[in-house]
Amino acid sequence: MSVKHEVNSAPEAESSAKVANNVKDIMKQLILALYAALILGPFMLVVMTSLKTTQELYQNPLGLPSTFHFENYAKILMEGKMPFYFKNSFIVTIISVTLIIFFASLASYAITRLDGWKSKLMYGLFTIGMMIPTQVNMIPLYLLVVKLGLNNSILGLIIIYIAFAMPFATFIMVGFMRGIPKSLIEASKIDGANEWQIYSRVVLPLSLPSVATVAIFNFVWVWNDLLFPLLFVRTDSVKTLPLAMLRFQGEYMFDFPMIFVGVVLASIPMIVTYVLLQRWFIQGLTAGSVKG
Amino acid sequence: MSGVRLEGITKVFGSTVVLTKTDLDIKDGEFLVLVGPSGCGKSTTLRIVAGLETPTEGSVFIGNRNVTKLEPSDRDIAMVFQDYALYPHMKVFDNMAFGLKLRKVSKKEITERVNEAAEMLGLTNLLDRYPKQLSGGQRQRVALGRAVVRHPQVFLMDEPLSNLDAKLRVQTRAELIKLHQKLKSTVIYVTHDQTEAMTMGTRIVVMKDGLVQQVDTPKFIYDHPANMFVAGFIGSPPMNFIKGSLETANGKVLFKSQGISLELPTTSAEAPKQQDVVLGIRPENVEVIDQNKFEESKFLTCHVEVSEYVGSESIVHTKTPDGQKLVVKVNANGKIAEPGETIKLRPLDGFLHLFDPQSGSNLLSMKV
Repeated sequence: MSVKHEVNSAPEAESSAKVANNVKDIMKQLILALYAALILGPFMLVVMTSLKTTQELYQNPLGLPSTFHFENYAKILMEGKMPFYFKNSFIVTIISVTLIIFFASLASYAITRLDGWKSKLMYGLFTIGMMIPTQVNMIPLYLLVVKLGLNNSILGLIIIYIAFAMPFATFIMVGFMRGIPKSLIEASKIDGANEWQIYSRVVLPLSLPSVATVAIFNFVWVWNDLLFPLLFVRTDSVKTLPLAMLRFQGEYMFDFPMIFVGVVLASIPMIVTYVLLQRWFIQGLTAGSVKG
Repeated sequence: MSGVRLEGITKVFGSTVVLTKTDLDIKDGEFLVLVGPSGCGKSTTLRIVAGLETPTEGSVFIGNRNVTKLEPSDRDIAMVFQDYALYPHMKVFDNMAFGLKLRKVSKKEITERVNEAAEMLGLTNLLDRYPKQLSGGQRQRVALGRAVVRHPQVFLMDEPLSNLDAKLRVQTRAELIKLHQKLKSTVIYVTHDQTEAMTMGTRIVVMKDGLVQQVDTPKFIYDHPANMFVAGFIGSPPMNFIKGSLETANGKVLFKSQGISLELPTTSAEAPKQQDVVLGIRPENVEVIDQNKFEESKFLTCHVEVSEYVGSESIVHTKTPDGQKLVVKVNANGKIAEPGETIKLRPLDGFLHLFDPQSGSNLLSMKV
């Protein structure tokens, strides 16, 4: 009997393990589905609202629009100054993000290549910036920017974004670059590469996951940022999208569909960037956490 | 091609002295192997030749040029790394061509040189692949190819076979020897594997604690180890050491230990003056005997502890009557000794080494 029992117990244990795994899987899927609904629900509500009239919104705030009013989009793009603010946001974001990547990768390369205390000191000085909340700096920063004559200018905004993004960007990139085997750097030295060539042809191409991570983070931050434009931008010609959207509330006081059109349009570049770079995003964030 | 000369190289990391006053003269076209245990300074020596480390003292010459202060790229050397150090984002062709591109060699010549090296190493079909799509052996050959295309004065190899499995290691070892015969270039090769050192090196440098112990051909080092460290490091299984004393009687020199008395083929005039010595004998120079053949003072009665059958031979680990270890290599065709058994072992005359128990230096190497 006991032999029979032992023989049967193996498949039984296997099937109960399978059931447990299935339950685990279903639970996981449920949680993920719930999370997706939490993110997609409000976004879909925004999209739907942007395709309604104001009257329809008040009558049926949560339902589908009876007619899809795409003319809302046309109205904003054709009549308002939206394309102009879009252009401003684009210039500020693209230039800032490009330069953040450039400077942070150079700094990270230097930190990973220097020896001992010099590297630690540089790394410390860069990352200490992450500990200071942006709001604490607002007044001294405002005085500095005004003194330098950089207020109310696109260039001023770009410089501020670069300065504020450097700590986190350097933190991410140093973590990644430290994972690049030293022998690769040595091999390229022996192959005849100078420091610039080692950086540009070996280290930077191998750091693409961290570049993607820094790009996504900063694209989202710079594109959405309201604080710095609110502090430093006065005239319409320098306004970025978030600041302009703030004014939308006044212009289209109760026209929520139009405000939501702006929100949808402003989200598109972020979604596109994330979709394009997400492949490397997780890799960049987790680099260096485990030995490869 | 050029030779390499190290003059009084010392390297200190913090408070640790890694290399002490090292002099080496590597001839043009020579395959020199640096061998020793971990931390002996062999890789540091190689990296100093490469220019990846700066010596604390001393000079490095490649040919007649003093390259001590030159960058690695200006030394005209190529290096094969232990982990191959292939650029993961470049295809095999680009990995091999990278050094040539940086030196602004024409596209036509790059293609010619890469194709030539690829053919020599059997990489022609792999030029379009990325390193991650290659096996360990193929990656190793790409790393070699990257060095070969450069036509450098000196090849530096830092344990290039250590990441390969045993079978592939033996195969690649032979390929490397053939490659060296073909290119006739100067090679400095670092390994901790004494078999690699013995089979590949024109000469071997045995190192320990940052000091060169002996530099010579594999055969000379095997037959005439300079000290107990070299004798124990080169050869597998390592040389046996038996503590004992020297006595002279009637002009003969005798080694005495545990009831045995071995006559050494040397005169009392030539014999070391000290009394306490260590006898060195390689496992293959110990014979398992039938007691009747020899008088009792010619053999040791030992207890078999472990017997390892390795196909062509057996390696028998024994203990002498006073508890010293004695390893013997015996022909596998004969009777295999079983653990617990007692066997009689006779060190063969003419293969004996005598060492100073304090300094470890060889007092007399008697194999001619």
